[in-house]
Amino acid sequence: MKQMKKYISFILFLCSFASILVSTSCTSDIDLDIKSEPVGILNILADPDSLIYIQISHSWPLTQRPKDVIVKDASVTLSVNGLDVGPVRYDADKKLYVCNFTPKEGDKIEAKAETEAYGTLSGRTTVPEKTHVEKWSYESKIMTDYNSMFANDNGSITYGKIFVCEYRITFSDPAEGTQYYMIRSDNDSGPLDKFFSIDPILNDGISPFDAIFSDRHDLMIFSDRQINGKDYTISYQTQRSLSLISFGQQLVDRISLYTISEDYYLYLRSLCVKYGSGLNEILEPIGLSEPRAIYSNINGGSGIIASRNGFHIENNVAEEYEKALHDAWVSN
Amino acid sequence: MKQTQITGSLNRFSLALLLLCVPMLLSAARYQVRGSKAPVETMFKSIMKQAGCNYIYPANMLKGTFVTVNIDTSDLTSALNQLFEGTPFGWKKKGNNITITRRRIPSKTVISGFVRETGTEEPLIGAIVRDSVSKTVAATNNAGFFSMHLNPVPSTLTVSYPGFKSKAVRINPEQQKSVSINLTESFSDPGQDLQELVVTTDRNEIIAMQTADLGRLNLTQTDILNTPVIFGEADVIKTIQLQPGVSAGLEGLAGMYVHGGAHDENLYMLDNIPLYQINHFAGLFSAFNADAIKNVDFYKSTFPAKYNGRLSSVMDVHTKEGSIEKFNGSFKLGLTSGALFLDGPLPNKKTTYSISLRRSWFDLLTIPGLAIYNATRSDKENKSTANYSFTDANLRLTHRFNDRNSSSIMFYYGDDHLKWGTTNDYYYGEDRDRTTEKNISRLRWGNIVASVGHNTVLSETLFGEFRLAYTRFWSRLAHLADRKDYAKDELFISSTRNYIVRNGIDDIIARADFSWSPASAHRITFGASATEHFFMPEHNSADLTNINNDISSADTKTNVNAFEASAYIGDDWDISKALRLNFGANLSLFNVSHNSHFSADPRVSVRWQPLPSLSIKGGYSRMTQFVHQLTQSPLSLPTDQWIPIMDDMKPQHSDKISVGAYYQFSNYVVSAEAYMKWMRNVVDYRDFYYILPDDTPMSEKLTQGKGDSKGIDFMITRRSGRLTGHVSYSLMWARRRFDGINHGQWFPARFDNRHKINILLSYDINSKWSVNASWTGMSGNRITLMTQDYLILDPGNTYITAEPWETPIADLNEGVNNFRLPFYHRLDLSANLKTKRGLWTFSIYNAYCNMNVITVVKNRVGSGYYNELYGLKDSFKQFRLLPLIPSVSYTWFF
Repeated sequence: MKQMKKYISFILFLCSFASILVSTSCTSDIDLDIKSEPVGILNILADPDSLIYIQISHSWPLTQRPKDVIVKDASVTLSVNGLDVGPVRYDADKKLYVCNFTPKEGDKIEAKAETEAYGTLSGRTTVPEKTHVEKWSYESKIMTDYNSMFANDNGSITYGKIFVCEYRITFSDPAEGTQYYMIRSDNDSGPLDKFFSIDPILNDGISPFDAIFSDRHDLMIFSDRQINGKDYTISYQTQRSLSLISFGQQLVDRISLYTISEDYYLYLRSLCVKYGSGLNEILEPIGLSEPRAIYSNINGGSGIIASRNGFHIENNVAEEYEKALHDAWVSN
Repeated sequence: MKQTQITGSLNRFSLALLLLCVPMLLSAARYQVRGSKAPVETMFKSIMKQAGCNYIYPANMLKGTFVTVNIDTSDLTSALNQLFEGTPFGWKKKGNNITITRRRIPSKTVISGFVRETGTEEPLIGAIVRDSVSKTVAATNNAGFFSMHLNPVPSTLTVSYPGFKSKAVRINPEQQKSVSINLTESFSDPGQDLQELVVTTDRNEIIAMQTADLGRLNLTQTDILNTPVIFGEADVIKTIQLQPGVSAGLEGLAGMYVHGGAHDENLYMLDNIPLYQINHFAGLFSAFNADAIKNVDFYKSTFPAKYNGRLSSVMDVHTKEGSIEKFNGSFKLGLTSGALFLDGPLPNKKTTYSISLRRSWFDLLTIPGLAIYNATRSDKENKSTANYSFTDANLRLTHRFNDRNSSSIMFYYGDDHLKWGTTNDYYYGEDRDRTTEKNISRLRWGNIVASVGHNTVLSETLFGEFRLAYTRFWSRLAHLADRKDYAKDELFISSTRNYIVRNGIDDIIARADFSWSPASAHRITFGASATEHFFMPEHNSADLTNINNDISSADTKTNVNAFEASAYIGDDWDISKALRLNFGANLSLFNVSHNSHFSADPRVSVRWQPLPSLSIKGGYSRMTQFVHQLTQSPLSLPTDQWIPIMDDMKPQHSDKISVGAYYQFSNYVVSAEAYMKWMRNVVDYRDFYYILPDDTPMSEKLTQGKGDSKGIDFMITRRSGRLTGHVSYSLMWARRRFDGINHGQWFPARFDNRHKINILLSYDINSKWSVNASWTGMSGNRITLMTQDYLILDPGNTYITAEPWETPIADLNEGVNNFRLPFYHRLDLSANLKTKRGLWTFSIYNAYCNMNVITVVKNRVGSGYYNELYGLKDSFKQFRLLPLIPSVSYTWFF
């Protein structure tokens, strides 16, 4: 028995030792002998609210700093519905090519860029229909912010407050074809701490397996698979801390519900998968999953030509915010 | 008839004649002659001289006939019978005169029988039976059964089996139709000198030199136990990984990629029944408990007609039946698991049982370890939980009705359980407002195989095996995310999410297999099987519950049923002494979703043996695969789904041509096997499948393509003596092409290890100690490495910008498996110490601690702006894994 105890102690010792060693992996620098040729990159996002801007660049080895990656001497042609809509000129300030043309829904846009060093890049997209928003509403309320707290003179703790606007946007989805959507906030004035949605439609396309690690798209994109041809009301929240700092500022919520092209949807989906928090994010860095690539629809190189068409909500909430701030001070 | 009296003299052509004539004692006459390949005429005359008889026979009748005899008897009749055994001569005695006659050679007769282990009565699979007269050789099948066509004259059967003493049994086929032969294990003889353990006939030598099979290996339990492995956990897969032409996959795992094949192209069978998921712990251990294994057949080049359903290899594991003599038991305690093995007879002495149980005990460390961690952390409201365990059990009951009939029940159960997560409680302020969060995930997977079978000797030439089986694989991943916020004990926010992801496959199988020997030159196998598959590639459910108990549920389930039937026939034909042909075909039908797929797969291999020590072989095999496993990772995850070919998909096929040469000298066999393999309709995920919605039909996420591989495997093997093992080298190429992957361009397979060297040596120091060493060196695996960056369209900005530090960058896709990892090499050592009641096994994995590179990762140093500002550069880093790992285990025999 004594002998057995000795053996067991020995085994436990080795077991602990092995556990420590196994959990020890290491990394070291490596110089890769890979001679990869740079390729041309073409990026376009067509939007009826804007002129068409075109970015042409080239890839560079990861181990080098990106320097002069913009291709300035490309010959770019842009055609819409088969008609040339040039000229396309290079804007040295913006480092973009620009075409003095504003697309509209249904336009079939084709871009072609001929470069000396990287060959010809081309791609096409079709501007989707504008999102059919039927109505929208919002409701504001004050909630406790457990992330901020203040110590009172008597030693007690007071939690901060947040001003929450809950938007409900009802839109109708066309029965024909598959539509893709993106909702986003473009607030550029006033302190906006957070904008998010927990609407279940944003779970679209996420496998339950990935949902264990991340339960929605970071980029808030979805398709009409669950609502095809029907009206749907999506909810969306903006949150601001209630503080005197914001008092008197212009407080405007700008929310856009875009219909996006299929290519743009796939491109954004690939970004979500690669840089999101799904299973792949855990496995890929340690070589246990095939690296995810970013979707491209560019022939002859990489990049994306995409389009979107959005309905925009601009809502000034300064009055409600001011009232909420007042109520909060009074209650304290 | 001319009568001639011949005086005795030694034959000058005899190669090894030792003739001993001893004058008979006065009281009792004895006839003693002994000789090896000696002229029968000389032997006969010697006996006549001792007997003092006259004899008569035609001149030259006995010329050219040689015998090997060792006669020592006082009975003249017995002496002459032994002398003329196996010869075409008879004799008659009249008075003191002996007349030799030429006997009529009758047609051959059949004798069949079983070869079993002495004591336990376990069938010995692949035992070699040689007839001294006809020189016919037979091998026992999975039930230990053999059948031979012999001359109807008394002869001797010599039976040999690795690790067992060879045995010679005298038979008279004219009078007996069956024989039961028991062999004694060499090690069971105490005090035996080590030299006596040498078994001159090894199963794999027979396979290499005698059969027409290429790329075939037979492993015994000893082979498996003598292979040094990680954590000392003996594993048949890791033993096979050391074979040439077999890539191991990821470091430390039980992967198997044979001749450029994929992970799901190997057919794993447990007692003739397929097993779908063969891994514990993501492949760190295989599901095959070495304690339960009797032996293993592995095929990688040519395949018997019996097997089909996978493209690249077949591994058929045979489990122990249990001893009929006495109860045996062992208990093993290792670094990672404990195992119990019991076998013995039931009281009726006709039924045997074999039970093996194995359970990991990581959780015995992790549970108390985490409890201590949780108790000692400063924020005691937050707790982490994690544990993992696996269990497997093999049970086999065998009932022997008589020598010709036996039935068996086999059961296998494997279960893995992984749990991880956190529970957190946050308290706020005096009111003790609080938030409770719980995130718990559980992953459970396993296999069940249950079968009942009956073996019967239908006639002396026909053996049948009938089996009804059920095999099941299941996987279940469940995740609970629960959050509740309380204000003064009043619940004001509640959110509960439950996700469950399941997949599985259930098969019901009926099969009948026959072996038939219609003539001594033919060994025919034939049979048929029918399988009803019940696939459940996915069953995903999600329940979302809010504070109002509003439940949003989603439940998607895919069920696919398929019916598969197959029939096969094959003949192993000795055309001549030098030429042996093995040919046959496997016909299969697969019906799924009202689509039927039919395949006819021919198999042929031929062996030409111009010299006894040289065999040259060639073979062709076609294999068809109707099911495949989808995987997103080189890890073998239980969440990887098995699915049948569906919609417009076509069955996978492989055509393989192999040639080989085998040369035997002394205790060594040197072999070279070259192969070319073409694969069609192989399946993989297409590029960007992961951005398709989850409910996209599976067939739209997949693509079919082709692949090919070629290479040559060299090996020198020594299977007998104190030092055994092999040294092998493989040169191979493997690549694939799919329309939906890599822009339709060819790309190398992930485990396209161009060069692979394996050295496996075992040395018996004495009767107590033995040591083993294995060294592996190979070209690194291939990985997909994105070595360039580029500016992407910023999804966060309204308008695109152009400065590198203002625009997000991403990895540029440059091709699949475009980078080969550095050369891989590793030495493993182990030593076994036998004690009176047990066995110590000490092992060291990666003895010189060369942590091999398993991947290359990117080292991002910061944003593009800071790169510019400080001149910092992103770089690549090698990710190395698994240092030196010692382990020890003890097996207690009782």
